[in-house]
Amino acid sequence: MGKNPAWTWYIVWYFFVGGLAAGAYMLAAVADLFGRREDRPIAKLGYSIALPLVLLSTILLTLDLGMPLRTLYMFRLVRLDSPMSVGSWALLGFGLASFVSLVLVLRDRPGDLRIRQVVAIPGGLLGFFIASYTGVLLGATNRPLWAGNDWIGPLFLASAFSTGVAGLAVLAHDGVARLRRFHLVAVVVEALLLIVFLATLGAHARLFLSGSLAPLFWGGVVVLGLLVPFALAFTGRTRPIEAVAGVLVLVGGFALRYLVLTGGQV
Amino acid sequence: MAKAFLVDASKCIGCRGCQVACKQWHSLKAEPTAFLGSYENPRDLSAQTWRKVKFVETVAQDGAPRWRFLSDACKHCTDASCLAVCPTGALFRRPWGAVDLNQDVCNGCRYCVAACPFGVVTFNEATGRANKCIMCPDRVEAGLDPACVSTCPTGALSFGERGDLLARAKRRVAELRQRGEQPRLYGERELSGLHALYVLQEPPEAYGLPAKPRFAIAGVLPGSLLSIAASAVMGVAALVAFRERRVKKGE
Repeated sequence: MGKNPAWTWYIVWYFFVGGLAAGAYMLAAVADLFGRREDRPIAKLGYSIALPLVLLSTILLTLDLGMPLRTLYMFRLVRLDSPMSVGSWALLGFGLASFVSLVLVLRDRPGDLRIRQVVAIPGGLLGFFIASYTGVLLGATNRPLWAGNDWIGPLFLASAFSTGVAGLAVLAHDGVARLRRFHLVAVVVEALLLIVFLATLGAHARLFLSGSLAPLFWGGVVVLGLLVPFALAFTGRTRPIEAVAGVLVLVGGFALRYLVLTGGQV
Repeated sequence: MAKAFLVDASKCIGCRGCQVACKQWHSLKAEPTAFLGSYENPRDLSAQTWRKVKFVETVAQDGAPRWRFLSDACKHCTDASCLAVCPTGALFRRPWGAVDLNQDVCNGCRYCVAACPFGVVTFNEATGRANKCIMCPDRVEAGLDPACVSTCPTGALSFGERGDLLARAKRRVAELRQRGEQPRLYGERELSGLHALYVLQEPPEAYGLPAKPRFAIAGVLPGSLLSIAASAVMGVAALVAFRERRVKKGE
């Protein structure tokens, strides 16, 4: 087993914030590529969420390294074996895409939609990568719980989408009624992947199910993050309820990142 | 050709000369320790202790206590997890086999720390960089043995061509077996071959060595493929969410 890398709060926040940025961007990209004129506000809001959060991500990662200039060493080489190396380059590319997309959507000149669609394709693909590579990175260690687990990437990806929609739902002026069903799909897929993840953990699952992390797992991830938002989706469809469900999904997404990171370092 | 350590646990007397020589050659500081119930000290390899002697107490089949020693350090694996995951290239391979660590390039991400299957690589809080045994490249490239090997009084530690040492290790295993012991050779095939071969008198686990060390990046491909599959599912679901309405509007 490897020693404890002490990836604590900066990394927990990065995993959450990076996933949220990727989720918001991916939805904005899909809205730009496949949506209609009425979907423009979703795209605009998605890009507006993504860029500041990417910037925040780089700040968090830099703070974790301790000495700011040393962050640049991530860009000395491209090391295809290392998820962290590829992830650093992807984050750089994703940040550039987020910047260009946001500038274009704010400028909104005739013909900008076309350019935005061109940027949305690589940007969206990088979003998929950013949303999931953190999970693959944890699998590529020799720490208990993480080592060789192939399901953290997919789980984080689903969570990036569910928190991405949740972010849009909380911040949109008139809500995101059009994405309600998708939100439900994202939460259900995330729940299914969570079950698969737990099933692959073997003895380590006890840490979440009945061990020291169980209160946060059951309370934060399962009840607040999945069950309550799921139930709310079937009740009244008022704006406040949608916002509350969104906030709960965000809380659940954060708790999930905290638990997976902490679980490999106890 | 590839160089390697040979650690013959059956010849180790637990003097810890190697541990001290390593500290002296690399100017590694003393560290606060505590009594562990044996002469073993400190508890673990660390940023300031790149080689240490493990003291293992076992009970033989006839009920007699056995005291085993093992001089342990970085194994300079062929499939080196630390090197594979290092994003900056601070960890690099010397042409003669050592996994070296360039302090000037390390940026303190700690990925190698989590990836090492042996718990060798340690984060140095004081410098904000990783540390581990680097196989004394300054000495080796000047034709000397690593400091630990030079100081070993019993021949428990050797250094040389990996092929030669492997042959010697196998001879030693056969020799010990003739004496009625149950020796094991460790490091011949683990992680495509370690650059530290071990002749052990107990199962590897007794010395805290994993029976089947795992290459950290072994799961990157399946993990990536599953992530791509999940991406496809979620991407299509998102696409449908926007398409669906377009169809409805068109009706």
